[in-house]
Amino acid sequence: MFRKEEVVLRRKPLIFLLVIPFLFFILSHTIPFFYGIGLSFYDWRENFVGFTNYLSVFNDAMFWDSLKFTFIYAVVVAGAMTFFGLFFGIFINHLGRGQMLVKSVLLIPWAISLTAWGLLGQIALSRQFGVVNDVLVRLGILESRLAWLGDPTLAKISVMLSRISKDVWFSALLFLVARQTIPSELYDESKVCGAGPWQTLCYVTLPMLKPTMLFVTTILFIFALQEFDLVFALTRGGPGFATEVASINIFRHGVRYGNYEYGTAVAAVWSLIVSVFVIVVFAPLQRRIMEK
Amino acid sequence: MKRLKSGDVLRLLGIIVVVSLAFVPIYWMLNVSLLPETEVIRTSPHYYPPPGILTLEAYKEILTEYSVFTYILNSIIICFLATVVTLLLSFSIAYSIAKHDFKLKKYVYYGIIWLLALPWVVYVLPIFKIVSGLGLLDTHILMIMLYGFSGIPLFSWFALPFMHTFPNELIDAGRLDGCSEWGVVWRIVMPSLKNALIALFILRFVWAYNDLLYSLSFTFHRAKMIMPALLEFPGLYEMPYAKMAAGGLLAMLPILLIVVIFQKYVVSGLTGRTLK
Repeated sequence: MFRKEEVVLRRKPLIFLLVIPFLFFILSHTIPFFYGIGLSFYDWRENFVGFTNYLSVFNDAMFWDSLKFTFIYAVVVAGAMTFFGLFFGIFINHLGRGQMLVKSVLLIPWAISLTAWGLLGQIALSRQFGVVNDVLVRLGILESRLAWLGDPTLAKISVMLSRISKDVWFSALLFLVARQTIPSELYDESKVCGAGPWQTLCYVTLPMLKPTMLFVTTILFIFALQEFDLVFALTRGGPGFATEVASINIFRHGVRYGNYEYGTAVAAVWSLIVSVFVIVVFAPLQRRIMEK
Repeated sequence: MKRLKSGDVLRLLGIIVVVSLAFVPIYWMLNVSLLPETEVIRTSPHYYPPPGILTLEAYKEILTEYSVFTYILNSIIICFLATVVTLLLSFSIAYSIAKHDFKLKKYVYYGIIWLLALPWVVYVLPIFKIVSGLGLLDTHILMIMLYGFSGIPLFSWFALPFMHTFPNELIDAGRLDGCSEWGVVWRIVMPSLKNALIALFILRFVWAYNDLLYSLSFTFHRAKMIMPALLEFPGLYEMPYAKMAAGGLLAMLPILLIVVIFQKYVVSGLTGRTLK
């Protein structure tokens, strides 16, 4: 009898606690998502056209270019933010008493929106009037001013550097907090064993920070794959389509050109690719974290 | 007096380097925003606004030409209510995943992982088509729903570590006292996890406020939010840098205020570590 009551207790609330809250997401996002996939099989006069839109997507060189750049962007941004975040996190930890001040400053770049950051980038990276060119020329690093946002290759680099320089501080903060939860006994012990600073770093600090590294890298990679705001505010995908990431590509077809059906086909292909990434990389990683 | 050791000097240098690296961008925005437009467009930029030409012209112009305060207020109202919605629903989902046993649990968890990784842009086109048919485009209620519901997968996932470490004894005590399961979440779990709640609230609020994609796609006039409004400053033929910088600064003021007040909560929201 007691068991039966327990079962009742555990079954009924699930509807209210799990299913109904989740239903809000499904109704507002998942159903439109599948509706969008349905839409991708039609043309703008609502004629069923089968896979025609998809064939055009696969033959669209610009789509593949944007995909390539999205992945390069995500790998570089997530990689650099993890690496430099780790570096600065450990570095700040060694700053002694002053780190309280540093800690309180680190969140300021995070508070700036990517939109405002993009506008600031336009100001600072301007070829003629920008401060970046001015400083680099004065220091003798550059001989002449560069068109940071005008040249396709430079623009790609600028977008990535711009993103990294804004949020590397946030990842540094995550690593700093993680570093400070490592018990100090481990460091005493490694000192007793006669380990030098490099050995302590390689055998104590880095292994202890591994879970944080995994978490930070994957979450940054996922956010970077979704990048829209910064690129839109900084370059709008230009010059030409050089810095167009997948989100901008879909937005351009669907919203700016008003080509819904084609845009939804691109969106479907893109979400399929992201899903493969989730199944192959993200989900197994999660299982490892969950089993711990 | 103790002599200054070389280690201390290096440390001080390190602090100065990091602090200035993090501060330079916002300083530059302030600097540019306080200059007249004509003084921004010069080949050797002013590194600080010379007192003689320092002006609030850019602020005055954007405040008279655009309803910046209305847009900021729209953003604040929408994001505040949306965040309340997100957190109520996400805590409920995280609670049931962490503290209940059911058959499909694993699949629900992987479903959340999948949904939080799907790029937001894939929802924009179909949602646009549906809500324009319903006449909901450019309304506050639509934006509250969109920002409220879109955060569910990510914030259920963020709330999970807090729920996993929540003591079962407290929950059982609540159940014995006759609380319903929702009562347990509302009266016991949420008040005890106050710090986590604040942390996740700030994360969600800041992300929603700073988001450009949905606000650009679904608000145009009535419910217009501040982020898409910022993009209207650069014109087709002119680059009003001072106005762009002033707008960017005004837009970030509310967020800056929140972050400065609640900064110690922000990191714990992401890492799932409760505060010491």
